[in-house]
Amino acid sequence: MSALASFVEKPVGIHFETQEKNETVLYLMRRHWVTNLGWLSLGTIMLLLPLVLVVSGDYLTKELGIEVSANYQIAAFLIWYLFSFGFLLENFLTWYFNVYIVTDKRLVDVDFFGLFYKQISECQLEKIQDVTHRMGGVAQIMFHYGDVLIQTAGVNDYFEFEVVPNPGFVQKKIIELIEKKQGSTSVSGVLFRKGGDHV
Amino acid sequence: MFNQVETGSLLNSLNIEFLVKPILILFVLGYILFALVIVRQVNLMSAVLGTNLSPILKTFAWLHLLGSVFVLMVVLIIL
Repeated sequence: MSALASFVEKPVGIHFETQEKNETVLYLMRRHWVTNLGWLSLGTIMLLLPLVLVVSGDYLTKELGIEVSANYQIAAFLIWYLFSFGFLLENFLTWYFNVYIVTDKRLVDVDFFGLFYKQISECQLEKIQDVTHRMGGVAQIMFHYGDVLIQTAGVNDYFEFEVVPNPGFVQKKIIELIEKKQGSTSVSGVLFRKGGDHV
Repeated sequence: MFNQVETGSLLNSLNIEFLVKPILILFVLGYILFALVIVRQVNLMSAVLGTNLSPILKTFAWLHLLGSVFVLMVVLIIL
């Protein structure tokens, strides 16, 4: 199920809006799947809640004197499940389409905020000055995910891949790409700080 | 006395139903707009980032929209 993976190497069938003809997508990243547990748990509770009400229906009717006609119950159930499906769909879409792309020429950050706002940022490999990764907290250490911070020479002085899987590997691969691009072996020793020692 | 209580509770339930029905209809109508926005959003997202899963997601978004129209029909018919 690489289509749903948080980290895909040389993804097949992926193309993005500003991709050039001779540009190859090398890595595609999303937020680590652990970051989805919040909305997945809430969605599961939402799906199970009507079943709890069905089970406790007799209690509500007898003890609390609450009586709802069958038609209203059907309507309420349908609306509730529609709303729950919409909630899950919207959260899935936000996770699925918010991606970080590494190509052989640049880094691309595709962001969708809510329903009405999108932002696509990109950074040429030549403009990268510093690559750092950081991991912190129990969840990030346990599940091995974190942020990759990329400092650039442009007006937008840094670029951030947030909560991506295996940030150390991503950092290493970006540095290798720049080295390959520049044809220099001194880059990692002088310009880049390896490891999570970002201050 | 019994008749008065029964008439009172009937009136109460009628009042509640008169109040709840339009609220539910308005909610579902608003929800259809939201479902339309999701269809539009999936198309936009798929244009920005095309993947193998894009056609399936578009189908889900359309099913969601059709589902919300279906729920509106049900609400209008049974309530």
